[in-house]
Formats: sequence, structure tokens, C-alpha cells
Amino acid sequence: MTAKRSISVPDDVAQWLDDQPNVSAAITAAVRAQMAGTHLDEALRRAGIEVTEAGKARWRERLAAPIPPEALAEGQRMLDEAA
Amino acid sequence: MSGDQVAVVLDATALAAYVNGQVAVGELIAEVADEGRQVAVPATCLAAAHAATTGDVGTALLTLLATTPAVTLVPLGADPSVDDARQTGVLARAAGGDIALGHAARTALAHQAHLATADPTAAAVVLPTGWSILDLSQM
Repeated sequence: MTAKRSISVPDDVAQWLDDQPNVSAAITAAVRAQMAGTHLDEALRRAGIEVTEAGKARWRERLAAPIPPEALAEGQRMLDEAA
Repeated sequence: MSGDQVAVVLDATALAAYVNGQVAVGELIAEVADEGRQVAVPATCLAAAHAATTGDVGTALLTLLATTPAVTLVPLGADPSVDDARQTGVLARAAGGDIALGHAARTALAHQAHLATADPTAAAVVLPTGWSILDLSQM
């Protein structure tokens, strides 16, 4: 289901939208990203968690480190054996 | 990492850390979301976290987190074509029958994702040597 909305946007936003192949899809993606961020912020705030950029940066490094190929191979073997 | 969007799996102890307001687990979830990827929460881990928490606040927090778009709830046994229930049970044997930990390990292996936990010793027992365990116990 979809719904039609008539909105007013600043000139720079209008220009960017004019360059999009599908304006509705572009607006939907932008609004959904905003909704997701708001929801997560609320979930963290209610738990009393204040996120810092330094804290996220520490995890960014850890997340970028790949799982060793031998561990991936062993993991697949374990799943295959257990199936 | 595999081609899918799941970057991190939270086990029951990681969910408990969130309920307890641990900053590190919140920053981990926020970073994954910022990268446009997903945090996976196995359904059994969510159930275990609900069982371990007391009071309405903890329950409400877990429900709020589980419905966050950055979080993917991973069912168990929902797809007859996937042997996930059996794999979870077999993996849980190494953890003394801890089904939630077995499910967390199965999810991490299937998605080639990091496993976040406040009990890295237990997690290491069910995962291959060298697997990425994000230790929340020292934070």
C-alpha cells in the first residue's frame, strides 16, 4: 500500500530530487533511514546508554578485521557435520 | 564477512549487558547501524534474556531493541528447508546444552559474523579457534 503526499522542500533538496530516477523511492529511503536512527537512539537512550564517537570508532576497527579463513572453513565444516 | 548484511550476533549475555545500560554494547550496535549493516539477535537468546531480567523495564527495553530496524530477529526451526534447529542443538552440546548459546554460535557461523558476548570463555567453546568474539566483559 502507498499513500500520496504533497510536500514543500527547499531549493537544494528539490534540485537533488530532480536528479533522482525515482523521487518516491529516494524520499522513502531517506525517511526510512531517519526513522531507523530515531528508533535506535530511543532504544539506547531508554537503556541509559550515551554513545560516543570514540566508542564507535573502537568497534569500527574490530568490525573491519576479517575472520581468518581457517576459522571460516572450520565453521562451515561444523555446520555441515551438524546438518 | 559473508555477502549478507549481518555483521554481529548478540548472545543472551550481550542482551543482558544492554538491559544493564552497558555503554560498549550500545556503541557496538550504533556502529553497525551507522555502517548500514545488521545486528542479529537469535530468538532463543532474546527469550533467555527475557527470562533473566526482572521487572517490566528490562522486558520493555528488550522489546524496544528487538523491534529496532538495525536488529534482525533470527527464528529457529521456522524454515523446513534449513537444518538450523539440529545445528543449534549439536553446537549446544559443547556448551552443556545451552540452546541460546548454540543458536548464537549457529547464527554467527551461518552469517560469518562476529559474536558479541559478556562470556567469551563460553563462546569460545562453541566456536572455531580464531573466530571473532567481541568481548563485552571488560567494558
